This record gives sequence, C-alpha cells and structure tokens, in this order.
Amino acid sequence: MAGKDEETVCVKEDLGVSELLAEATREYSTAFHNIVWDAQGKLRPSLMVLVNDEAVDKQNLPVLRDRDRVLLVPAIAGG
Amino acid sequence: MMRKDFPMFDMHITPVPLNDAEKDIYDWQMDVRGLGESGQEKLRGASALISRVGGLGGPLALELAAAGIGKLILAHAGNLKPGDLNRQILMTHDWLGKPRVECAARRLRELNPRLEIEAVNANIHEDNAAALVSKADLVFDCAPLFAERYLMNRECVRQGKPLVDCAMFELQGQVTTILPGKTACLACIYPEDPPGWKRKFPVLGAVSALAACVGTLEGIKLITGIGPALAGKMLYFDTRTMTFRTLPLQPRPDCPVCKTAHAKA
Repeated sequence: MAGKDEETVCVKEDLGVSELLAEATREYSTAFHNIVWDAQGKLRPSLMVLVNDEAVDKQNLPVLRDRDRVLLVPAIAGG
Repeated sequence: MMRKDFPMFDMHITPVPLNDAEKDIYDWQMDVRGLGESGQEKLRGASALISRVGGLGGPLALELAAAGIGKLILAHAGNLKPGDLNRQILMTHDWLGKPRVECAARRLRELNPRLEIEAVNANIHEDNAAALVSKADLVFDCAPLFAERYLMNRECVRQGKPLVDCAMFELQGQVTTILPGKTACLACIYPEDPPGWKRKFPVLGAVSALAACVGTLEGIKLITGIGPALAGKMLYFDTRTMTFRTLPLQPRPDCPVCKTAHAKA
C-alpha cells in the first residue's frame, strides 16, 4: 500500500518506533502517511504495529534495539 | 491415549453417516491423520455461510464443496461483469450479465451434486446478517467492504459462531479465526476501517485463492478438530517477497463488540 515491501535502515541509538515512523513518513509517499497517521497526528487504529512479531501498545511505543524488526499491518478487506 | 494440545471449540455438529459412493469419493482425504471417516461425517453434517463468492469466497466455496461439507449458504449480490473474470473462478464467460451467485451454485453442484446450497442474491447487510449467520455452523468472511465484515463479526460474536476472516490486497493476505469469547474479534484487531479503503482494489486471483485455501483449512480444522486453528493469531503473508508470518492477536478489554462475550466465557 505504501509502495515498499521492506527496508533495512541504520538509525541512531535508542530511536523510538514513533520517531522511526515519523522519519519514514517524511521519506515515503502520501499513501504511507495516510495509512499510518490520522488527522490529529495519532497512529491509526486500523494499523497494527509489531516489533519482532509482537504487537506493541500504540500509546506507549517502545525504543528500538539493534536488529529489531518493525512490521506495519494495515487493515485490508479485499475479497 | 487421547491428547489435545490445542484449544478446541465445540461446534455441536451432528455427524451424517456416509454412503458407499461418498466413502469412495473421500477415500484419499480420509487418510489424512486425525480426519478419518468420523471427521468426514462431521464435514457432511456441517453448514457454512460464505459472504461473497468472488475472488476469495469462490475458491473457498469450491474447496469446501470438494472436501465434502454438507451445506453452503452463499451471499452475493449482483450480476457478472467482465472485470470479475480475472479471479472469480466459479464464474463462466457465458454467464456475463447474469447473477453471480447462481453461477457459483451451478459450478459447485457440478463438482458436488450432494451439496445443499442456499444461494442468496444479496450481500450481507443490517437486515439479513443475523438471519443468515443463524443458519450456519460457521461463517467465512470474504467481503470486500469493512461494513459487511464488521456486521458478520458482530453477529458471530453475538451468536457464538466461529468466524474465519480472510482478506487480501494486491499481493498480500491476512487470515484469522475468531472464536467468540476466546479470541480477539475483528473490532479488537481493527477498531475502525481505514478511511482510504476503496471498493476496487488491486488483485491477482492466485493471491485471493491462496487466502481462500488457508481459510478453507481453518474451517475444516474447526469442524473436524484435526489441528489448531489460527485462533488468537493472524497469518499475514506477502507473496511479493514470499514472507509468511503468524502474528499474535490480543482481545481489546474495551472492545464494544466482544467484551461481553469474554466476560461470559
């Protein structure tokens, strides 16, 4: 949906998931922005955010560690 | 020794004995470990509602019919259009302009004339959701609109029916099995539909069919108990990279749809 399947990035130490998503939003398409953020700048309820395949609390996003994998799963309904 | 190392969901299906012709037809699959004649009899006694029989629900219905399910209730409105034929494998070119659900029923009967089919020329909506869900032992959600999906989710939770939710977009797919009172429901996973979702979505039929086959297996496992369903989990796949992941799902304590079902469980 965002036009990218996956990407490996080098980031500064102790970067938070929210900062990572903000950086990705600046780099990627408007479609990515609309999938991830609502009009109030909050993460959309229709997006699952997982770190190393474990769901994270979107109100309390964790700090990333070396080799962490962030997965964004948007709601889809194609049938 | 009987050993159950995965949670079961009792669907209270009454097995239907097989006749000699059916024993011949299902001879190969009754050799599947754990299925046997008793599992086949449960399939024969089971009924399922499939919401829409297009790119995803079509192959799902076909596989259930082939596997020997007893009854299918098919809900799908509208007539066949040229743009359906890249993925809706129950359709035929000669049926253009005619009701899709009738074509689907005809094709399924050609494969399995023993199958009971109720073909409903309507999509799931507020006025028919409760009645249609009540007719089936389990429900397969293959609808392209979130409004329909949320309706089926609500009714399945309310009526205590398992819901196999199958979805795809472009080269990706998601399948999960919702067990009321035991797992997260669709409204827990996605509390609201994404604002940008459009009725027309990019689709290759093979991706829809992949999600459909996974969904079919979920249903067969629920009915026969041959293995653990994706209960409280989501299979997420991306066929562009051939990545398959099983993701954990948690019920939302404040979910307006299923919190009562969890409280009763």
